[in-house]
Amino acid sequence: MTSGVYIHVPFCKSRCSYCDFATDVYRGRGAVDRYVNALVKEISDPNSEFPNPTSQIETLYFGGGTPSLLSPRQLESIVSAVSDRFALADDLELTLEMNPATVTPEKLRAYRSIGVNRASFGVQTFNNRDLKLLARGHDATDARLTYIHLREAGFENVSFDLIAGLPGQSIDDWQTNLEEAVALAPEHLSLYLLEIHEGTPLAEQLRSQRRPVPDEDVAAEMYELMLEMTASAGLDQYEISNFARSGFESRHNSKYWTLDPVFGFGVSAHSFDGRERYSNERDTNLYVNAIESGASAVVAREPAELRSEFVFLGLRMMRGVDFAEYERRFGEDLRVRNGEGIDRLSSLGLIVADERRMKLTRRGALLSNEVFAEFL
Amino acid sequence: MVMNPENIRNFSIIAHIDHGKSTLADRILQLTGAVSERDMEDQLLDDMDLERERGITIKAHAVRLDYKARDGRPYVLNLIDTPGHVDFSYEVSRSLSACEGALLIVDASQGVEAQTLANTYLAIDNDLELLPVLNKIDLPSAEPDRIKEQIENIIGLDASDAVLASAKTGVGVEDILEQIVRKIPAPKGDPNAPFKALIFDSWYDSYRGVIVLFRVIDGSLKKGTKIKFLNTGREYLVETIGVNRPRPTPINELGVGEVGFMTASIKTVADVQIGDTITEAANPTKEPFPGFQEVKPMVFAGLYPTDSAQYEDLRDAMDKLRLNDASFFYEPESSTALGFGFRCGFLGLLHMEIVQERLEREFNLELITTAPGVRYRVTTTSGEVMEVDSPARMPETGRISKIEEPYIEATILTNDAYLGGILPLLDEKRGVQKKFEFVTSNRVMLVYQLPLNEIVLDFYDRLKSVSRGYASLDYHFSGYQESDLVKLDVLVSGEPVDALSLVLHRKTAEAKGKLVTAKMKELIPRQLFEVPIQAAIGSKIIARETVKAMGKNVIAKCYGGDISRKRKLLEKQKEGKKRMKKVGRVEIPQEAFLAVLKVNEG
Repeated sequence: MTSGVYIHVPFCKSRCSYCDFATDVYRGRGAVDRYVNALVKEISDPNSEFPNPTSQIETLYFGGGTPSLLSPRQLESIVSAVSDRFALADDLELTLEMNPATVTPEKLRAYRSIGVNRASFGVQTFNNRDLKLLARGHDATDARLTYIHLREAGFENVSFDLIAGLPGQSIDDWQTNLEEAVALAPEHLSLYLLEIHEGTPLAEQLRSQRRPVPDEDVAAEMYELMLEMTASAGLDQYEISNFARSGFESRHNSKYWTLDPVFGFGVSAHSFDGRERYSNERDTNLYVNAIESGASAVVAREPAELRSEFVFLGLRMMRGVDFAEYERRFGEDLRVRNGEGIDRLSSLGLIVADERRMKLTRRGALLSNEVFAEFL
Repeated sequence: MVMNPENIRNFSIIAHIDHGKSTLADRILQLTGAVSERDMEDQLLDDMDLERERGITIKAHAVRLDYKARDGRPYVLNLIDTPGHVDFSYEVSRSLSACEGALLIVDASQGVEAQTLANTYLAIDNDLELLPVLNKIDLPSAEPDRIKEQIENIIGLDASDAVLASAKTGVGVEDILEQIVRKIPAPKGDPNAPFKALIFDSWYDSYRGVIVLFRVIDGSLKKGTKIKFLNTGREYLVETIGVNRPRPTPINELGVGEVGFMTASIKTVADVQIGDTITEAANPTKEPFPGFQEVKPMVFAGLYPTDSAQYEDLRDAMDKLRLNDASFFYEPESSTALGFGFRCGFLGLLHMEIVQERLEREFNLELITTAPGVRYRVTTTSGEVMEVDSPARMPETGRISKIEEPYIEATILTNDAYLGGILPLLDEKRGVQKKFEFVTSNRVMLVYQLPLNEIVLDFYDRLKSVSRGYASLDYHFSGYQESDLVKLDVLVSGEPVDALSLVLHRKTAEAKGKLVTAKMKELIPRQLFEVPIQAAIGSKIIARETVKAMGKNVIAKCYGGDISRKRKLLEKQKEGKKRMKKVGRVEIPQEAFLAVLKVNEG
């Protein structure tokens, strides 16, 4: 089994209206420096949560927040802390999440030379009206430029995100977005249906009826549309929300779905060592204080519910859940344990099951929470 | 030594709600020295919290008062306070039959109301001497002459001698007592005949068991006597006898015409039937006191705990309540929609409200009540006659040859200005006019035959609104009549939902079906499949709505590691479903049923 490392960078220039992640508004380099020092200390601590990583690290992923707010030097110090502590694979997948309008061609070239070989950036929509609604802090031209700059800097594995089902977004709007996305020919696309999280400004706007509440049937239609358009562009759906040219699937994210260990560092980072899940302090100041005072940043730790997670994470992938693998891992037949549920979901057309595996249908993907609940 | 009946006067008070009965009773208690000014608690006789709050009397009471009249002789006056609501008219008639006279209290500005009228007729039926009293005479709006004329026109009672009183200021109260002594006949009875007494109320006391209120007709009773209830046939040894002054006071013997209580180790009030006759077991009377009836519930509804874990608590609470209220019936019932609960029978709507409120208040329960209904008499095609008090138990349409429903005769008193709203309402409620009479120049008395079922739905509120509160209603059961009734079923995904079935008249079924299905559509969350909601009479669908299949339910991103958080989210979602009620494979939140039950009531 190979492992991955996740590094969380919480800073953002501004907060997007739909976001409920652990993020902090970027207040200049000083605060980031202090955070990076803490990160380096956490990664390097020989007594930290992962004293003896036994396996190679295959993927390194910088997520956020906005990791592209890191200067190349800051990034480099973190990467070298990781490589000092862990054995890195030769073909390491090193992903950095970026936001348009935070990167310049020079910065991208510098990232590239540090070893970043996969870029994932947030476009969300090519429609300027909708970008304003989402309070993204950039416009569509910034996104297009970022794409061009990435290619110019030599990135050969580029992914970006789009969100469907925005308030007021029509099927036509979504189609226009998809057309442009496909025309850019990225190696990878993440396409999401908007989720409204309580407490976000967007949720408030919908509640106060300042924005129309997105219709779930329209969202379902958008989902169908994106499956068709990505397929005809040669992007295979390999997970509910992820599409890639063959060989360009996110190796890092796949680790989550196949229950490979991933070690997380930084504020609100989550780790999984194969048995237990633990998570770090969610507040950046508290995180930094803890690390600086030599304490652990881990605030919660619990055994993973491996059986149910194996099934619901496995079903997120289009290849589905392999019955034989389930039996090998857990010593029982899933079809005995959940036979009735599997039959019910099959008869509702939400999954298909054969001798070897079961997987979601298109409709099952749209209603995947209903399917997963069966296996909890 | 027993009292000389010549010096006893037994009387009751008849009044419409708010015409001042309780205040007057309090004044009488004060004037006769039964309570001192210091102990005076407002509305002393209504001692249940509910009675005070609602300003109504639910239980009968009896108080023994000593009064030295102007003729210089000491009298014992027994004031028997009766419930004032149509739901309890049988109890009222029993209390009245324990008296020789009654005060007829009429508000000197408001005049005679339907409720006063009904109880007055009961008093006349029981041969009581009626003493009209015009109360609230101190108010500037009082019009004693007009109200006297009303009393004479409507009731046919000579009001020339009516006392003008104000319970508030005390004016006229002594005159009332004098009239009681002079005009109400002394009780008659044979002191040497076998002991005979009428039970007019009972209640449960957790220390002493059941306490029975009675009025002696013949003979006398001492403690230690073995007595027998004629109708139930049960025998008991009398442990204590006493009178309320108003504090319970033991007494050695009660003779002809006297009113008092006894205890005899009786476990529940269900063993004591109101209207039953008490006699001596060893020397029984030949003739029971006339007028006894078994108490029959008229209004039925399902009571369910909101939280199914409270089912046992509800049963215990009902057992306890029934110790004290034998007129309330219940039996276990289960419903796919609401789980386990009870089908309950009540004397009327007020009684139903009181029981529900007492269960919730005194036993800390949260209850769901299904739409109230009546007991139908159904004749099946095979000629079998059955009584059906729950729509869910109505036989299939094809097996029914006829349905009869209980009818009432309703008396409404109102001003002619409101007839424009009231007559169409009565028409809509399938009323048949029996009488339309101007009792004064602008006051109208209406008598209608109405199906009881129409009354238990929203009649009161509607009548109140079309008459702006200026219509009073009273009614009594008048028998069963055949009607064109149908059972309306609500089907979710083809499955009938028992708790939502209704029996109603064919002409209103379609509109109601549309209303209910539309409401259900709003309230049933989208499922994994399309859910048809139908309203049907037998196999005929009269309304249909469809809940579309769910569009999406997907967690967009699932990385990082808050996989535990996502899992908990999914678990929470699953938990929420467990709390839903299942009809077939459709999951319906309980709130949906509650909302539809509300529609059914309206």
